[in-house]
Amino acid sequence: MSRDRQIEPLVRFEDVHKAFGSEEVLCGIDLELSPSETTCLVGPSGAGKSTLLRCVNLLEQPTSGSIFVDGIEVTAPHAPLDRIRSRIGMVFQDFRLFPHLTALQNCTLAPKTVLRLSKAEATRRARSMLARVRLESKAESHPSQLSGGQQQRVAIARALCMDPMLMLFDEPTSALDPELIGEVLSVISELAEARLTMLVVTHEMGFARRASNRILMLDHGRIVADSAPERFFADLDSDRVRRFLGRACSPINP
Amino acid sequence: MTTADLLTALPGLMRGAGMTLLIVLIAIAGGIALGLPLGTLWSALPSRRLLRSLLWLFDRVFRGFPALVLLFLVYFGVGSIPGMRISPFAAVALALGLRSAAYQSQLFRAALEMVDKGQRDAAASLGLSGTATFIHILLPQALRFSLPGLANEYSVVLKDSALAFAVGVVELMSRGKFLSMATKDTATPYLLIAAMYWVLTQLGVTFFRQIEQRRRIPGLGTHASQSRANRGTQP
Amino acid sequence: MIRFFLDILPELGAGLAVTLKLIVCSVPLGVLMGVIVAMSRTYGPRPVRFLAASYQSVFRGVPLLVQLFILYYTLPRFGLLLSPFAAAVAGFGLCSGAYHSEYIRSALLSIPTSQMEAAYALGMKKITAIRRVILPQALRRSLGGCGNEIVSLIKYSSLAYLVTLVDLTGAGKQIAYRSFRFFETFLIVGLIYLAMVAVTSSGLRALEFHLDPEHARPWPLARGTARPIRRSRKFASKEGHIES
Repeated sequence: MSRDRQIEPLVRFEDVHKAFGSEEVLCGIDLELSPSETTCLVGPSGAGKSTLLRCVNLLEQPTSGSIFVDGIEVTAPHAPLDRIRSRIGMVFQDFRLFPHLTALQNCTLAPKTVLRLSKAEATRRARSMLARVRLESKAESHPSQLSGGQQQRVAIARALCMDPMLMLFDEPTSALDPELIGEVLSVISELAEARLTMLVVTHEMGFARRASNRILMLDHGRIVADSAPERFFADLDSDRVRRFLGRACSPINP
Repeated sequence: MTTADLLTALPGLMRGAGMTLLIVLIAIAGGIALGLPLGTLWSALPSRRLLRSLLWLFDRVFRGFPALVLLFLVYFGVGSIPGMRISPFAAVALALGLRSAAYQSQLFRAALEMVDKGQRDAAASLGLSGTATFIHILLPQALRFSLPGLANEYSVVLKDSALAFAVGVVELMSRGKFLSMATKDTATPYLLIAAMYWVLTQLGVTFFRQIEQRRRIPGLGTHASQSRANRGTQP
Repeated sequence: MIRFFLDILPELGAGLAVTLKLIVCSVPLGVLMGVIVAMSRTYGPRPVRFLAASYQSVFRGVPLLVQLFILYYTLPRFGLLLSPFAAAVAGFGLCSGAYHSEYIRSALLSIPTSQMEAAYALGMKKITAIRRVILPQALRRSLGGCGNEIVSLIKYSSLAYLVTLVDLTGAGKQIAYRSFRFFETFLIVGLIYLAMVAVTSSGLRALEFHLDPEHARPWPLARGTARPIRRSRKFASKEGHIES
């Protein structure tokens, strides 16, 4: 986190806590994401990775703490959530394409209704994004006619059509058959190479090593490791990481 | 009843059928107009005490009272308020319409619940407002899910429309009765209108089936058919 | 209003008695018809199946009122004279039978064929297998739908008034015309039907719950939608592996 070049972090978490009932899932997260970086969020199941990701675009509301996106405090009471979300793209584990719309319509809906693009402009943009994920031939297909990998790529295209400044990926390949994972990961890698700011929750360690600039490890709601990929994988056997893994998070006192 | 009688009676019967269809159309349209917002409200605000109680009351009265009693209540009841006059047709439209709205609110509530929950998150993540999400994502899918229930509703309202005869509306049932009295024949007219009702029912079933086919979402069935059993748990 | 209610109570009571008699006679008839027609449609030879299907189509496609009129006014022409009560019971039984048959039929179809195979393997003949293995299960499964139909019949029994039977609705109309207090009378009548419906509905649900716990809807009556249970978040496994 260099301050000499005065790059404003794109995302900043300040002591963010999130509890579901009495279970505290995020225990004081402090974090800064710089633009054009690909960050992978890893950790054991239940560590809070998805929750952290969903806090960025306020699909989950933190119990305490503040989150800033591009300088705007999204946790403020009257934050313009719709507007902020339109600038953040999200890809879900279960794709979540709109089943009653074709791939093309899935991609043009938000640009037309939220960004108020004309039909022609939205369609043009959608076709180019579908081409980018190599699915231009499937523009008129419905999601049910596509394989899992294809659906996920359409979901990526749909998010890209909003021209986001930040992309969030919530375990994008966890629901896919093994042979389909590759096509999705290669699309995400290409986006990383194009210097799009991304935060990816994943279990695909190979991808994390190759494609990301930074790896964050979360365990029991805390960040236990934060380094460049080479360093992270070198440290894997070290005691330091193992020690972090043992630390538990204290429950909220009512 | 001779063939000649039959031929002269036919136009009248057709007009009766037309009146029946008009009643059904208005009742169902009214049912959708009121039932859809109510169903949406019910599924969106499950926790507001007062609103829920009011919705529950509306539901109980209009689904729990027999159709005939509702009809009498509206027609005679409103008519007995000093200064108020209600035509038989309006009474029928109102009674059947409100009743249909009560059933349809259950129908739409269930249909909205059937839409996959993740859709809302996905829409939100794109920056779609609540309203836009409802109009573009939830409603189209919910309407498709509610088609079988609407087909059933048509069937029920069509048959209930025969009750309009009890308050003097000249629809198909009334025409049948008049014809029977006029020709002193208690067999043919009633059998005839029975056949006509049957045809109208079949036409409706076919119509809705056509719509279901046309508006089919590939890969998304219309799910659990809204048979009379699923019309709502209570009355 | 209370005074009025008390005044008309005896007359309403007489009407209610007629309604109850109607229901008590019609419901078993309807269920019986339902079973017969459902069985015919599922297991019968071609012509029988066709007849059963036609029966369903006719009695569900024609208004109950018209059916009642035909039973009461038309049949005498062919020599069969029915009292208003008999005509009403026949009409309710036949009509509701058509609906019951559909619920029972789909319940019959929902029993896996493996059940029949198991019965055959035990040496049962087809008819015994159906009677002892399939039918009991199917009847349990159709409780929900058939229960709904019974509740529906309670409300539709009000049509008996239109074939000159003085049931609860008929009594109400007479009282209303006499007293000119239309709104109150029909409101009370409606509430009595509502009470009957509520009691029957509750009782049927309890029955459903006892006989068929897997498929039964929640009882006592759960108001509003069941909220989805939030999956509780589990913490990391003790080993603390990165790859999970």
